[in-house]
Amino acid sequence: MNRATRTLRFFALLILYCIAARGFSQNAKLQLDILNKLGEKAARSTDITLDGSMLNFIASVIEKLDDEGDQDVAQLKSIIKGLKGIYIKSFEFDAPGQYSKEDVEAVRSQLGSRWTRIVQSIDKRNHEHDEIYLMKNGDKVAGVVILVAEAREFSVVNIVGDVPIEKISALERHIAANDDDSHRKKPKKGSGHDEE
Amino acid sequence: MTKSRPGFIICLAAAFCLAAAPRASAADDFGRIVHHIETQYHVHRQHRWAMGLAGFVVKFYHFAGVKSLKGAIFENQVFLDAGADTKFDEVIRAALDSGWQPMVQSWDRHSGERTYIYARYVTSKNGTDMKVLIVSLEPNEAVVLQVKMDPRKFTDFVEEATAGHNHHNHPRPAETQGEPRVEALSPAQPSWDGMCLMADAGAPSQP
Repeated sequence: MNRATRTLRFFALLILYCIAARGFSQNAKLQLDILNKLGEKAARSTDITLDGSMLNFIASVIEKLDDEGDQDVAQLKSIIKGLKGIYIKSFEFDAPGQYSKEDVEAVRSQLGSRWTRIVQSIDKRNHEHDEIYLMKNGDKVAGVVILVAEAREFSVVNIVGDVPIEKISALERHIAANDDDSHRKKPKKGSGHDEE
Repeated sequence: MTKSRPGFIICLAAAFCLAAAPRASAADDFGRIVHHIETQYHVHRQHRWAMGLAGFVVKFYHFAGVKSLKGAIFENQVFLDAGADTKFDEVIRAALDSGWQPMVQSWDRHSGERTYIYARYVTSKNGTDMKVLIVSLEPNEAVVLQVKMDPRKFTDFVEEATAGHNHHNHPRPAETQGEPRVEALSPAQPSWDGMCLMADAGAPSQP
């Protein structure tokens, strides 16, 4: 093997390494600004961006909350600890067909090979298409994307960082249970006297 | 002279409060947004004195790490055609240009409801302060609030404020033990000899 071939092989390996490294360092943060144009058609739009120093500040405030005896706060603390960013874009429309398949595809195309679809729910009757994607970094979760594409609503939730799924679901179950309790306790309007 | 002294003090205090109160024409983002609301919807700020006084007090006494406070409240006023107010977005976008980072932006085209929460870090003598700008516009009320605070002191305040909070909210063990006892006792007292004043005189008594 002459020197030129060896150099060529070295550069080829270097390029391959760079491509691989780029793939592995793929950020879990999606470019959601491409959806901003939908805001002009939407009847209601919500845009939430929590990252960097702002998220750290919120995390530090939550961290200081006294969680003694409060399971929700303790769970919230452990959830927010590993997060690096929360990005939400949600659009509600007056009529169906205000966003195109290309808009959905523009988000989906950013979910490369490191993303795994863990949930897909399709309701053709109501034109609902919901998906949840997960990016894993070893044993840990590096990011989550929730895609909700319904006839009159299009929402994308992008959470970057170590998302403890089991803790979120536990917290969600706990909050849902509390909500049920509070609804049960609330007397129905107009029928409160009868129930008593 | 002696008689006019209280009046003089009140005038002086008023002058201080007015000086501390943010003027709508001020060149900052808060002023621009308030000015836009006032001119676009022909509404007037309420509780201006209270907000001015609060801002004045906060300047000298940094409660919860808050170093400055500017607030404008518009209550029970009609914000006509708020949904069609496209200039509002321009004013908000101008705020973005001056370094604010958007945290929450929400807009409802039909009701004209808008909510904006922006934040940014600014360097100060003692380190870094955080500025938060909150704008909420609803069909019949609006609030614009700008707060500058020391994040470290604010988190310390939160820690202090919530330190004993849960102990008050959650029942003590003795109270927890007491609750079922009450429930258990209530069915065991079916006969109550008292008289219910609210009960209908003709209604049959409970078994």
